[in-house]
Amino acid sequence: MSHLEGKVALVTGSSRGIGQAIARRLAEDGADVVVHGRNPKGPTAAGAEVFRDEVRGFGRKAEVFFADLTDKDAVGRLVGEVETAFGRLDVLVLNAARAPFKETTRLFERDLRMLVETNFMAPVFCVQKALPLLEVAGGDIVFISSLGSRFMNPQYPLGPMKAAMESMTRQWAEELGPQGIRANAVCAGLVKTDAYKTLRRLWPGLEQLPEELFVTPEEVAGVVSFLTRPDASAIRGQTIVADRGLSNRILRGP
Amino acid sequence: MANPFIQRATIEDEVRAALAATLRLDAEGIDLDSSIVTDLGATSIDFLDINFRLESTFGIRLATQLLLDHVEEELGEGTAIDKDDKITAAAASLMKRYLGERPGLEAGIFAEEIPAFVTPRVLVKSVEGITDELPEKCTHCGEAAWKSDDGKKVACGACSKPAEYPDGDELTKRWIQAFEQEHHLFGGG
Repeated sequence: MSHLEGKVALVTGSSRGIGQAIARRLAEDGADVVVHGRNPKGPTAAGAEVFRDEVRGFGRKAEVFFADLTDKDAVGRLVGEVETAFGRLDVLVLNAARAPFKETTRLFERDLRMLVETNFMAPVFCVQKALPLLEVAGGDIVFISSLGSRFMNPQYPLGPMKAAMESMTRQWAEELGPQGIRANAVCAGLVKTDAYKTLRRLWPGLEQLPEELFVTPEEVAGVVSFLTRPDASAIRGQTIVADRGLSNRILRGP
Repeated sequence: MANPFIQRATIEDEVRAALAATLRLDAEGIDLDSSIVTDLGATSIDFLDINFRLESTFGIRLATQLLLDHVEEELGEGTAIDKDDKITAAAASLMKRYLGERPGLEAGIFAEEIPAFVTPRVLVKSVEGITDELPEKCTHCGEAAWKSDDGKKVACGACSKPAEYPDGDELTKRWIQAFEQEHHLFGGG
């Protein structure tokens, strides 16, 4: 259970939801953990600090750092803080995401810029800035995707961004493989986090789906954990679908 | 036209109940003119829960898009929120009409500050705006035989199907069009 002992993991967007579950699991695997949130004055900032203390409670080093990842200089400062506080970075989990829920034809220019900046440019900035530390560590990059990358979902313009990032993950695997860095993605199915509260209002019938089709944040975290193990050394540039079989169903009814 | 089955006091009680359940507050103590964000401590995610509860209670669909997003869809991108994400003078006038005069609700504030001006009374008005649109006859069987067992959900006495109201987004659009036709602040209408 402790394959990450002595190692350091940064999980973007880990003040709540799936990101927090991943950070918790990596800490259980032995890692010291960097909890990241976007806004120090935001609604989840206090929760991030509670979570940091929880991680410290089971004997791991943990810090909360805030950064707007769409600002390349801020990403540079974040990586600098990680280096100063922890001295290394072994696992970079790109989980942070943010999107409007509406038809693509109705997206304002500011919506579209936010989509691309937060969900495409920001993870690329993270990898660019973290590269020197990941190279030293022979680290792992894990991107958190969703089924929107390959299946159309109503009012879900995040899907095309996830598709682009799954492709980017393949790019990274080839470009960074020679430096000993692995890059993979986990494509999660329906997870009952805060985003689900929006989706259930937009997708009629979602509430009627059987509970067994909902993936838990801990299950997503389990796949991330596996991808950071030596056991997963042959997996490169792949996207692992973790959806309890939802995407195998042609009809999504109960 | 007022919905004959749903009293305003019932909506007020249910708004208080939804806020109390989501924010873990005492329903009795909720002032209808308090700020749901700054006084009651709600986050944007909490609004989703609060709305979901009200939708389930009354069998309605509240607006899913922000009011100023609707304004820009109806009247043009950039008319309500400028390049710096601040609200325009026209948008401020419209927000005052919708939310009531509130200290600090002025042109030039950031669009993301607006939720702080939403009160329980605004939620009551949003719910009532929808339930007041009860059609004359059932959209399924054509009978005029509405009934309600609980003073919240209305169903057809003939075919038992629930009443179908226009959704909050549709009503918001109509309201914006009517506002602009009256005031001509956005250069459209």
